[in-house]
Amino acid sequence: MAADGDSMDRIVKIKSKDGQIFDVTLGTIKKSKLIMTMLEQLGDSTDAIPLPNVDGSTLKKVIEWLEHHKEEPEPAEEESDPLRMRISTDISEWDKTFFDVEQSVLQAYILAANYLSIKPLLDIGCKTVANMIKGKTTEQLRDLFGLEDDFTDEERAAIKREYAWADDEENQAAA
Amino acid sequence: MFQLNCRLVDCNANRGSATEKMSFLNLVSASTSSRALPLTILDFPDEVLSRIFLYCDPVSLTRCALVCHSWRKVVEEEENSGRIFRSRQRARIFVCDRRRAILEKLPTPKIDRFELSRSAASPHLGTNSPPSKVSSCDVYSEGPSSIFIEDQYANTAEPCWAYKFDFTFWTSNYEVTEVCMQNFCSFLEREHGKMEVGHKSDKSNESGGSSRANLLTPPSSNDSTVSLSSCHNSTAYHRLPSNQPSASYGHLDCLKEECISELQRLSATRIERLARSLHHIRPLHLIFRDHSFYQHRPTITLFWFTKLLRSSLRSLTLDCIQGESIIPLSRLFSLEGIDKLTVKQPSQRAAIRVNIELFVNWLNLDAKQRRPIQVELFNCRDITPQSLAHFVYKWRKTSEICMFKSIKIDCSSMRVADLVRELENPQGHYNAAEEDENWRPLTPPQPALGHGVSFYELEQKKKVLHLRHFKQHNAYIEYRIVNDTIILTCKREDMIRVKNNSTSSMSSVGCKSSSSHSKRKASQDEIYASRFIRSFIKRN
Repeated sequence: MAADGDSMDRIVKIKSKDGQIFDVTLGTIKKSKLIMTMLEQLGDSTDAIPLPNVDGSTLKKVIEWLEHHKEEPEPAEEESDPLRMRISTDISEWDKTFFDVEQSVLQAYILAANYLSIKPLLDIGCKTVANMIKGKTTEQLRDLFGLEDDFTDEERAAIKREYAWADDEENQAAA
Repeated sequence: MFQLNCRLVDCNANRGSATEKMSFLNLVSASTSSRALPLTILDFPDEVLSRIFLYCDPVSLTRCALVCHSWRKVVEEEENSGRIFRSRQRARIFVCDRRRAILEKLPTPKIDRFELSRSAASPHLGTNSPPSKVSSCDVYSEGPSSIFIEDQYANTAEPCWAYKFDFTFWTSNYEVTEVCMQNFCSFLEREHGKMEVGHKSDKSNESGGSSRANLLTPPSSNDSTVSLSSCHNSTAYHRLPSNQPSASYGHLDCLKEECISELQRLSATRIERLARSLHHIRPLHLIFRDHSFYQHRPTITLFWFTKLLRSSLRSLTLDCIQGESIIPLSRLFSLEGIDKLTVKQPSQRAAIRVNIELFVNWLNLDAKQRRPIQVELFNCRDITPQSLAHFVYKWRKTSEICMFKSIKIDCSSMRVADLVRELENPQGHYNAAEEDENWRPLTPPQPALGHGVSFYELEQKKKVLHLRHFKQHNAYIEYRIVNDTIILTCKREDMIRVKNNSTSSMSSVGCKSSSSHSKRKASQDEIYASRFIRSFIKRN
């Protein structure tokens, strides 16, 4: 399906898990590879595209993000150098404010971006979480993300040997 | 219509397949995808976790791999594919002065990482194949001491350059917990005269250092009568730091509000700037090391800096801290949240006094704030046998057991026989009030000329005491001497495997009568005297 010229003004209907229908222009939604592929398969149908994995409030915010970033060009090729990826954790002020939400909401945005295949949104979400991880001890990470230490005693002993040189905090985390 | 080849996205089920990258083909039909439980990070599929980890630095990844099974598995997979790598090298930041900081490599054993994927087959360690992406962090350090890696300089062309460092790259790639401050804030010593004059006359402050440097001929050297009034003379000589009144910051001896505001004025944001650059290092081990005597630097500056980093501080080393006035450590520092305290006192002009109240206060901390501490004291004659026995007595009296790892004191700073006598007498007659503000440690005990260490003293050094908790008898403090170091260790019988009972001279305090003790002492002295006489006759 053509995705340029006047067709960018075409209105596309998308339907959230809770039945809310949103009208968005193709120019706005084009960053979602999922929807673009669906539109190709649907042809000229004007039916609302069901998105059963995204609730209405999350979908509304995702559309808001897409609206704000619709003029930005498609991201370049995937960064192949992991060193460069790691240092590019800078996030614009607008995006920082966008992701300055409760943890459960942040995760809903990231899952929606993953589901809808919106790579730039997914990247910013992942950078936000990476920034949250930075500078935390193992125990703090468990507390922050509500995770349980599910290592077996044997694995814990192996971890302890692995980090015998490290400081007590690491050992305590592994113990 | 919408009957794409979709299936339910179950994040947990999806977790095992990192190859299924962001494909819409895996998606939805969906009514069952709604969850009653709130989302947690466990709901992220593997591909999202991988993507998050791609943005994490090596040090963060090391910690992530220790969080839980699922995180470790993703980290391992990504590391094996060469897209990420974990930190493998310990290092230390050495802050030389306001201008320069060095990153030093610390000895790090080669890491033998076990892999979850292999642990099922072989529960023991498996050597990880090195990641294909080699970086500076993958170099294993060898050798006994630290090795220079790189340094950085603050840009002195900038207006606020002092302590302007960026440690982000260092702390992201190396396991940094130690930060060593050499001659911390020694610049306050040089600025002292300037600040004093600035206080009194703005006009003279504007003159700057260069104009003063031209007027440096002392009218009379070694003038011990230099006083505050001499500052008003405003000659360059009288403004020299060494001619300033010695106790001008004597009132800065606690971390109260008025003292802190004065410290902020002295710092002029420099100390706070350094603290900000170190705030993300956790756990943090701060080392203060003085090479000189600092007459005018308020000792409290060190502890104010420590306070700024308190949330991440786990270990503190005070190495030869020297100053004009001596301040009890308990007034400046609390052991709340601290794992290890090391104090090496200088032979003279110690700026702090390690007092037993510090440890008694630790006993009184809330259980959540009190960590099993490890204390190492060198040349700390401030801790007397009486005060140490007082702490042990207090420990035995606590309602709940306050577990600590160990307290180590070198034998040269305490007479062992005195300590044993005090420990064996559980009355705790120590009175902290007797040690007033100006109390200075006594001269170290010296053996009598030509006699060496007495036989009695040697016997005391072989002793092992178990000082049991008064209420919970399974807990005790073990006293013993190893390599000329007094070691008090806190132990619980239910946590110790019963090994052997071959400790020949072990005794449990309270079982032995004082009369038998004195008889034994007398006989030991006799034996020693006869041996000494025999050796004397043999030599002559």
